[in-house]
Amino acid sequence: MTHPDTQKMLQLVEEQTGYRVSVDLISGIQEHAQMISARPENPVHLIRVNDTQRAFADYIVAVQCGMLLILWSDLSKVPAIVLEERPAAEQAERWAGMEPLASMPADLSKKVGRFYVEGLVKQVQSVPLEIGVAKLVFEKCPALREAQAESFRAQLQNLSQVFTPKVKDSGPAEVFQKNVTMNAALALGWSEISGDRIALLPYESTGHLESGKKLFAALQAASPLDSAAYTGVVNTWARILSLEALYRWDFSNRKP
Amino acid sequence: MTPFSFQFSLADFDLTRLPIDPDLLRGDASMLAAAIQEFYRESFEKLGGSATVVVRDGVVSVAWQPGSGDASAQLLQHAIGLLRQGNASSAEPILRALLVQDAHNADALYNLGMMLSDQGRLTEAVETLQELLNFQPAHSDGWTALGVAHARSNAIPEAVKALERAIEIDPVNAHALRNLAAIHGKESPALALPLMQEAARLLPDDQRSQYGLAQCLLQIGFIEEADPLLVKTISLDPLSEIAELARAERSRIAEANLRANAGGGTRPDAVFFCLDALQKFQALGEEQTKTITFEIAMLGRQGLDINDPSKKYTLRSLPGDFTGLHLASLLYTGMQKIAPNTDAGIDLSRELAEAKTLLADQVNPKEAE
Repeated sequence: MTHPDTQKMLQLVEEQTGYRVSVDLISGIQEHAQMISARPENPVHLIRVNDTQRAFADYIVAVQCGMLLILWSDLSKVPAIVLEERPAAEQAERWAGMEPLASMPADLSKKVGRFYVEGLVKQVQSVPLEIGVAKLVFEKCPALREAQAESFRAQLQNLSQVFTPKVKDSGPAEVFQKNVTMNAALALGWSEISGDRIALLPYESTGHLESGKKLFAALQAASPLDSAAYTGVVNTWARILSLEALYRWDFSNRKP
Repeated sequence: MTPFSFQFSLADFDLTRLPIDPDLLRGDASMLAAAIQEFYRESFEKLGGSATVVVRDGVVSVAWQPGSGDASAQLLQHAIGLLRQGNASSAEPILRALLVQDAHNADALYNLGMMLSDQGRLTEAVETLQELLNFQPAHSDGWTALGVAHARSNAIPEAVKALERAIEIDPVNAHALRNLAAIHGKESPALALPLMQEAARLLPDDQRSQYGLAQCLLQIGFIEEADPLLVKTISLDPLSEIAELARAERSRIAEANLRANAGGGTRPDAVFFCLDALQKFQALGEEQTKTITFEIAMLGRQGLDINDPSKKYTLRSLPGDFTGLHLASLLYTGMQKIAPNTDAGIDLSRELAEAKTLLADQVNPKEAE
């Protein structure tokens, strides 16, 4: 990586975690980047940037480094979320029985129900981290702010599609509420960091901003965000959203 | 101080620049108006002063009251900032409003011309840049931008003429030199070479110039001189597309040298390195094979010097010092084991095949005749 701000983030990760970071390109993935974090037997963090995103590679790598800095603040207890199989299956079945899923063929409704469970658990795990990392990158990488604003603009635009009738009516109302509440928290987080208020408009006009504020307040109370504070915030969000039974934490010792 | 104002059709506002889904905005007129008002309020807040934005009857009217200073200069900088962010649709009405105030605003014409050229609106771009050059005929960057717009329109003689004029006015206009060299490079690398050399000297951190010079040198056959430029091209932005091209070029050179040194046949040293790799990977197992191969692949992103016999490489996953060819052999052998369809960047298939035969002979020794 060539940008001095990104170099600084890579150096911080190497200093904090004791492992080297390697950056590479990868094609054929959906997400902007993949991260394979280091283990004593595989002593390098590998950040693989989607080759379609190479123009934003510096920012993407800085974000991945930010994630490592938060999640690896205690090397002896690096957290990862694991789905609790039985409650997840029960929840998927419950949603599969709700409209509009109930009108689908049984096999399909079960798959979609499961997709929602996995999606919401992933979201409750990732959004607080995303906001925490955004704040860190905004502070530590001032030269990457343009790329950061561009990235959030695209992401928030994409998330606001959920208000279009085609998307809104495609899942159970309960799933929609939980998803939109976390999206509102993300928009609030970005607004707080950047001063950009436009992204809040859809949540204001549909009355979802207040529920998002509750989540965001829990995150703000946990500053600075280290791995222990992060898992605490995720648990708080999950309790507010009634998702707490669907996962457990798995902690691993990654000391070199 | 009078406010600076401009208007444009709501239909011309690029909704994709907002963090809200465009279809959602099109279906909600009040949210759309609020979003556009907020967009300009935030933009002008950063400039100081205050902005009034009205969205009515399909027209957006913006009036900005600057806090202090030269309003035109501040707005021009703002428009250039928007262009840098790729937000041409917001920059264009500002640039056009500046030109309504002063039709000879050279900076506004130049930036508008470049923006139109980047958008592929090449006829408008050429017209705008020619307008600039009518009253500023010594604007070297203007001639460069005109040359680029002509080249994009495939009007090569006009492009060459404009770029030559830019260089005549300013002999150290590196972008003009680079673009003219790129045009000549297709037909006559020898003609392009001195231009690209000068561009690369003037722009030592410009990846395109370094790669352009390397290509000129390769086309003429100066391979040894080209290689350090390819290395530099990679180091300037390792994940860029140009870096990938430079890596591929380096692999081709290294492989050609490797074969040339072996008289076109197999390299005995590479055969033994492949044999060593086969034995090591057999003993270490799949996981360790992956780890070693992966580490070499990462190291090799900067290019392994396979024609240098010195043992200048070390690995964290495998003890010892290695030559570039030894690592390339380990990499090729490892890749063939774990991901045979992946390009290892070098073809050592003949060496590996011989190594496999040797290994089989070691396992099942033939009886002496």
